[in-house]
Amino acid sequence: MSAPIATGYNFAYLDEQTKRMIRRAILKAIAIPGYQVPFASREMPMPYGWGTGGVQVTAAILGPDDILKVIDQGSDDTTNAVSIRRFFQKTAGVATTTHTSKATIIQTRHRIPEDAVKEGQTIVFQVPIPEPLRFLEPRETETRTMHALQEYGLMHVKLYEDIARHGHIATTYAYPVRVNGRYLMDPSPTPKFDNPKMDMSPALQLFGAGREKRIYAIPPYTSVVSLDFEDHPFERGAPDRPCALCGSTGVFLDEVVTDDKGARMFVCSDTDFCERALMRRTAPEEIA
Amino acid sequence: MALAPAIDDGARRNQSVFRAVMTAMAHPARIERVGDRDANCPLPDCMGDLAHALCDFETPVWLDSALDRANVADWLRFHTGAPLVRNPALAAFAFVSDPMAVPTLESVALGSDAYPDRSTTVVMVVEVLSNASGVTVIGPGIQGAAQLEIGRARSGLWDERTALQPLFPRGVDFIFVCGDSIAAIPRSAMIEV
Repeated sequence: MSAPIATGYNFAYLDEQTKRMIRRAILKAIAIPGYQVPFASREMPMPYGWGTGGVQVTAAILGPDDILKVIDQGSDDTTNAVSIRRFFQKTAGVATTTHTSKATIIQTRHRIPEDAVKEGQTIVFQVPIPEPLRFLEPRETETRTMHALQEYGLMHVKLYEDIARHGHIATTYAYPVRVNGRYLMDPSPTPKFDNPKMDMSPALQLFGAGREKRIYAIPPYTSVVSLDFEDHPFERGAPDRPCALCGSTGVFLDEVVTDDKGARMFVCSDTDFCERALMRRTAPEEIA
Repeated sequence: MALAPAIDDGARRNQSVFRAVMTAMAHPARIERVGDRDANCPLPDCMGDLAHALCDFETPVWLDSALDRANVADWLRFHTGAPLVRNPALAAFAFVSDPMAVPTLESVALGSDAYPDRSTTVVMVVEVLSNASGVTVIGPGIQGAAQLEIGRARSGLWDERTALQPLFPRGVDFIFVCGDSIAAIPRSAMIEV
């Protein structure tokens, strides 16, 4: 179902001057992998926290020939994903898809698709708090100096305190990474399960934080290392069971409560991956 | 003097030019094409298309002496609104039409350690763009290594560029322009001459 294209707006909603400003920030972000480029984030027709940063990045890069996929926690059909997809159908008239392999731009809130992405694709992450050191040091002036001096010991102290308190690194999402051996970066609140997918990814990864007014990027084929210790190496935390619907193993699972008596099931968080895995199992002749 | 008309369908044209630049920046040394050039623009090769896609009142522009002409200045002022500056260190973009006259990299803005994005992007016309020979480029965006030949350029340019590498994240991003082709060398790329 595609919404009719709205008239009275520029292509992809944003005016040209705003797009140029965002585009320049994106170019700097790519040139300085992991560095948070300040940009003049605009008010968007949706509240902060609903992906205003990701939407602005997508609007700035989107062209009429692009095929857009939008996911929210891996799902193509939750409110946030549906409304952003329809926003761009309406304001840019672009084609949309749920298939990871068919999309040229994938805007995501907190997941990286299970299917491997490929060169030429761009992943746009919606980011709430771009500064990985923010909860350790609230002052922007200080965190900026810490990035300038590569003074990242505080983050290691935080991970160490995790170990001292819990016996292991208890950070499970927004797990800090080091990009290209230089900048400490927040991979957005993706589960740490997705961190290894960022390392040497063939796709361009762009991050937009609307409220915090920052854009950052990981170019393709760039080293992304999750912080850890020699005696407490990074653990991806793969689920110990298969998906209850499609039976896939080694994928990220969501816990779904099924009644009020405590029954629950664990299913793929990536709905597109799950649907196709299910089809392969039940009706393999129907998929190409 | 009559001013050239604005390009048709600016939103889509700017988008396709920007995507070529973004892809070039994400894959250093890779040669991208920006498509049909704006024939009415007095800037050489596809430099005017890049200016139209990237420059506005927020981006001071520096022009080399060969570009420092009334028709170029008028075109830039009218179509982009970019202020023109005499000092390349104050420029967001330096447009260089003569590769022998590219300013020394000491004279352009490198940004600061806290704000490395406050740097000059050098857009430079070159005689050739080829991946068959030239300097070796490694770094983010490149699987293994790539080569880039830009032809004639002021002697010492690559030496100055390699001398900047230890200063990362400060540095200069280059966009080379040849006909309707472009290639980028962002500051993250490591050059071996």
